[in-house]
Amino acid sequence: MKIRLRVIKGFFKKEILQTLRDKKMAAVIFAAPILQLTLFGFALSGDVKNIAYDCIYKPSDVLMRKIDKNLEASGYFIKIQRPISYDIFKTIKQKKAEVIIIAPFENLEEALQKGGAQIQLLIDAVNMQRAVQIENYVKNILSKTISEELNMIQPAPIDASIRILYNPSMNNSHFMLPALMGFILCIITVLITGMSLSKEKEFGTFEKLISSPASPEEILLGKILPYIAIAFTAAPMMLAAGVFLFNISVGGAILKIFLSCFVFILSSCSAAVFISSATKTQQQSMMGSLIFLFPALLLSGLIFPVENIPSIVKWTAYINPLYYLVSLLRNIMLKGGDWIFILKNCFALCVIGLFLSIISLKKFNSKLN
Amino acid sequence: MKNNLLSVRVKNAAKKMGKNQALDNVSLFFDESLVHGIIGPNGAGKTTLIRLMINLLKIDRGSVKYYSGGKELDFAFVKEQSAYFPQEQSLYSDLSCIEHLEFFARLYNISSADFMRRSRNLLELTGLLKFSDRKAGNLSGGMYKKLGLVCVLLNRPKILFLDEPTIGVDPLSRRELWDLVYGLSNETTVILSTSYMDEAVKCAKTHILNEGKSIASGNPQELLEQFKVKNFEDIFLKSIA
Repeated sequence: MKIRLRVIKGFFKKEILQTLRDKKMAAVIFAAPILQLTLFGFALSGDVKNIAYDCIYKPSDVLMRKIDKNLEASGYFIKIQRPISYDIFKTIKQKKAEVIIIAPFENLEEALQKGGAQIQLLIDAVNMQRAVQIENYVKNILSKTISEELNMIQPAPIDASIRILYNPSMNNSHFMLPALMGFILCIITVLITGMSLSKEKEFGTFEKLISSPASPEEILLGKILPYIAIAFTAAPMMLAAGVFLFNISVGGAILKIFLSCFVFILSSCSAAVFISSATKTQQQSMMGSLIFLFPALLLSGLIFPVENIPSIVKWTAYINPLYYLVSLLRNIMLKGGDWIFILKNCFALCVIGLFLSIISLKKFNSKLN
Repeated sequence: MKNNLLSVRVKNAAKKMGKNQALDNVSLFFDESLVHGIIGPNGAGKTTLIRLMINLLKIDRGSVKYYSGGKELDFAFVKEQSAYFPQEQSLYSDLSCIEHLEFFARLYNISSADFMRRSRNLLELTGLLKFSDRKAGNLSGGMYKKLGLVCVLLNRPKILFLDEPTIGVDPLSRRELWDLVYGLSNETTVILSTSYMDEAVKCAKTHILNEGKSIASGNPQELLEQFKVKNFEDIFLKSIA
């Protein structure tokens, strides 16, 4: 194995110059992460909001009016304007309302006193997860308003005192942002590293490199190291965006975050080399990267919990570098980061990276066959 | 032998590219310190032969051996002493001439002092000095080829492979490139391929390939006499007939 620092430095300068001169590429590397993080941070919210609703009750029903007001005041519900000819089923079918609350025929308070109060909820359940959340919201507001207005003391067989840990405000963006950071870092690393290698092959410059006295190790390292550095600059930029735009707290865990990102970038660069070793053009490399990125996203725990994956395919998550980074960043940014947890996950990333590096080096063809 | 220059012997070389037999039992000897021309029409196997010689392609059958002073050399050593100028575009359009030279100097592990001296000499020799800061993508066809040549010459190779260096350049640039090649022949064994038949007579030794087979090899004038023709095109017409 022949590795000369001088040769690597040559590659480093060339790659950085080429990347910075390509304005589109520079935009992808430096502007896109902030833009994506901001956009996805707001858009990928699990909170159900802006629920169009209507509440049907007699004008004399004071309690239902209060419930109606509380629904609107909650910030989750938006009351619809009733059309002249009103058909509740048509309204839901046309998605003009997602939930319609229908009071009992008599006033709610009277019905409750009789013990047979039946409130009907018509919920659009096309999106089942949203429907369940809407139901819970309505039920909570109903129950809270009734208790407050009627001074009812609910019989409580279990006195559950709930305390929310680590994300006390239950802010969804605090949970999603670390994972998004990981995913965007993964996109940058895999795409730009892979495409830079394929570009050499596509434009014929690869032939000159492999015929030069530089060893395969020098060529590979020279091509990868600049992109490790470039990808690593995206981490603090995204972190700053998270802190200033979404108020996420990183406490004193910056070192832990950067360590995790660095180990992950090494591992995902190896994946990029592995992909590009099987491709000849930038287009093929991009397709290969997408084939890697799509399952990496789905099996990372960013959207779906990995715990819910059937055990027969759960192993695929454990060989996914993004799974470890998402776990690491969530642990560090929400809990402050436990060193044993960090080292265990970083070790897993190192093993994956080392494995992919060995295969990539073996697959790296210094011939044109 | 001059300055430990290299010679190459290709023996019974065969290479199949896909279904096509690109080279079929080719045996040639490229002796040191000469300008060798591999001449043949498109698809004759010229590029395949050069790629086999510099180990970019794996040989199916036969051998390629390098010698210096009668001693056989290991290819790892030859790689340090050789340079290759591919037929395809081999420069980075977004890097300037001087940035190319800096990159290749590091790739060839040339010291800073040597780089300063050699790069200036080569840029002056090729008339590229005043275009040092121009990006390769903005150079004319002839200047682009010259820059490619300057990059590989930085290493002062003992053996230089040029794959169709004059293709796609104007007649004046072609002449300048040939002048450069002649200037090298005292210090370097030059092996170049070309599909321009008129360039065959410019070489000290010409090796004629057609459809993956070696037709003839020798001094260009002797070859013309041997085939009893006036130019190299007639040799191909004769061989096809």
